[in-house]
Amino acid sequence: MSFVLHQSGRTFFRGIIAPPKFLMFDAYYCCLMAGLYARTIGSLQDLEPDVFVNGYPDDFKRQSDIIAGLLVDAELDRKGIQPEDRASIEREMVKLVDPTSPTRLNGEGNKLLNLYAAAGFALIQDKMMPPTTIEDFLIAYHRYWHDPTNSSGA
Amino acid sequence: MDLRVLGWRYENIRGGLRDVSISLDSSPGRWTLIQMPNGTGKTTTMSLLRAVFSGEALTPQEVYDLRAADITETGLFELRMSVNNKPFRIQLRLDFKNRTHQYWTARSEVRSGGLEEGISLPKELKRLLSRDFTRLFVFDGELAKEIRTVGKDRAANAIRILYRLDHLDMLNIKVGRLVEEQQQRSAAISTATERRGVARGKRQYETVVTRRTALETEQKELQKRRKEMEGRKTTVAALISGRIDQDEALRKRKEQLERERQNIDLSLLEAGHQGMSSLRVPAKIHPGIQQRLVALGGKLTHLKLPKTISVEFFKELAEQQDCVCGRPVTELIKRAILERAENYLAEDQILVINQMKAALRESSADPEEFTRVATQLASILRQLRLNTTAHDQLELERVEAGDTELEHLRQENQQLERDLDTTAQKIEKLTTRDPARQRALSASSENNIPLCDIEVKRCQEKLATATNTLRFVLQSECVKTLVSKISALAQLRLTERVRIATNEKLAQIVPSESLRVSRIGGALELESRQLSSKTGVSEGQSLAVAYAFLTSLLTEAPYKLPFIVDSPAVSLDTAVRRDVGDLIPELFDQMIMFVISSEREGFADAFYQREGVRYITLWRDGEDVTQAREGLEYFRSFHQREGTE
Repeated sequence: MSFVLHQSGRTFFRGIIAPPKFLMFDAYYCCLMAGLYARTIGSLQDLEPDVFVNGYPDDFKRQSDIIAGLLVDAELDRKGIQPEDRASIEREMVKLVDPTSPTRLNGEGNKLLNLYAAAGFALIQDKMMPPTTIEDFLIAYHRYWHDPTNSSGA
Repeated sequence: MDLRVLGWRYENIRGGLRDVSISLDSSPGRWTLIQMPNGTGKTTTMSLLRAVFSGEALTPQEVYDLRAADITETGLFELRMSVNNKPFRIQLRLDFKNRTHQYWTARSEVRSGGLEEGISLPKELKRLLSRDFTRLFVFDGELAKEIRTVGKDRAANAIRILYRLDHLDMLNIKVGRLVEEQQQRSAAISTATERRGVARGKRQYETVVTRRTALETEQKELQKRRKEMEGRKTTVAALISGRIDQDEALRKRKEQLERERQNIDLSLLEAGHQGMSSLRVPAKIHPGIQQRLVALGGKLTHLKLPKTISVEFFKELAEQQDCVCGRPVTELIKRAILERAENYLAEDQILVINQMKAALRESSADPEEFTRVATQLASILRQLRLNTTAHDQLELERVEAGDTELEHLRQENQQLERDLDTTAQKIEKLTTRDPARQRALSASSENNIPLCDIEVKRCQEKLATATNTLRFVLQSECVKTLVSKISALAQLRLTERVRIATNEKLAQIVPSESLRVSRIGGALELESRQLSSKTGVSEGQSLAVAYAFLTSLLTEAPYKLPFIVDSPAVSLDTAVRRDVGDLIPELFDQMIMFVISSEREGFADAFYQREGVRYITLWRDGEDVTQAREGLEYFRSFHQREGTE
């Protein structure tokens, strides 16, 4: 499983990347959650050319099933698959799941995850300034999720 | 590669070291304790050992300062050592009159056994023994402080050199040379027109490579300048604090604000940790995420997904002669079954979906937790702003009372902040890879290193096409990229390994303080439960960190080096001393420790029960000449005598 950032992500988050407190993967994950919730994907051109990390860091390994579930959920919605369409839902899961992968996702699932994260980054970048401290980011990220004017706001 | 110290000799060196020889035998013991009271040349010995190992050039003044007395004209320091069991003798010859010095080496490879000028150690070892690196194993307390100083690259560089990662850089340089040679050969057999094209391509390539080097130099200079400004900013902050302290009332208010600030920092750290824990659980980020997870789990349950029938069932069925309904499975039916079987999950996929379903069902989390933490963080940050404003107010009051020096310091501080901003912008313009930032900053190959790299590659390919070596160049680029990636990854993994080992040792040495290395960058960055980024570290703590780091760094390295240490326990608490005294001796194959009387308790006496320890005592006699005597009894009695003074 290879994770790739939005090509502007590294610059945007550079003020707070400080492992192990705030990993590059934390930045990716925050964008991913925003993208999956908004159910929009970015394009391959948005991504950095290189993989920044292979596999989930330890703190996220327990969330692999949940993240895979959120991807399936986003894809069902993005593709307009009806909630009762059992065959299509199963077909969609076949397309994304790989039992041998630690992330539960195959190459296609992996690629989609990166595209959702790229779209999420664009949404976040629209709504906040590059953070300079982790604390400021946490507050701004919380505000992002509760902003009724954006596509993720409740 | 195994390096051991066999002994050393002084002639006419300051500290009364007129004619003293220290011999550790041809197969030295594991531990040597050398008791040298203050004034007998302990610091001088450490400096001389470092100089001889690294072959560093001494300044005329440094040479002159090493003389034993005003009338002495020449002096000598000779180090005997073995490298992979082969003896070497290195002399530092000092001419005090002319303030010059020379290094000479005697080695077993030279048949005559005579001395040759310069330091003739094995090439690999010579490359390792730089001035900075030598300070890691000929170690004193000063390094313990420096190793934690931001801006010193010693920690990361040490890992790079010690584990031979610089060999990978050299491999890339060799690949580059091979490309050049191939291009020269190819150009030599071209026609005149082609040769002109090659010459033009080469000029363009060289121009852009020169520009790339200039940009890199500019980047280094800017980074150096930034470090200097950061250093000055710290100094200015201390000076400002000192000005406030001159007014008793303001000093008290300042101390009160600093106490408040410590509490705020602590609250901020705790809330930050909590915030990150909440953030890393999707269901806690927002109630909507949890609703979706529950809804998906419910949907899968409602639809009885995943189906219990798997792709394997249909594949097996397609191979049967008859279907379960009794009808024959023809070729046409077989193809249809196999085609549609792909819409079903495999057995192991079913297992995964079931795990996912279970995780979705169990994804319940407090959806308000993140909100609570964010609210708390906002409140703490408000307190922090108020505290900063109140602190600023103190400075303003003092300025208004007529402290012009403080006013100047404040102005300097503001200027430093502006300059740091400008420098950061310049560095960003030089280094950003982000296309959006490159556009925003009008970056081009003339002023941006990543864009210049692209231009270098383009010119290189153009030149390669002209010399018919494109394929060779592309292959060499693949090798170089791969080698660079291996190098970066190896550095990352080795650094992490050393960091983990350092923390394991720190947990042994200072278990009560939760002092840990959070990151090994240019320097060692610390954290403890009390502070997110530990800055106020005591001398003893620094020493404990340095020992833990150095032992982790050196013990697993492919080079076996002696560990020579000055006053190993002088700034440690007695309890910590005992732990250091128990832990460190086991980590090195050869340790030479210079001790003073105050280190007897807890440290030196921990060796008395050990086998194979050599004890040497140096002291100044009545004529101010340093003498040496060997043996535990004398070491202890001298020790005790001095200790009772």
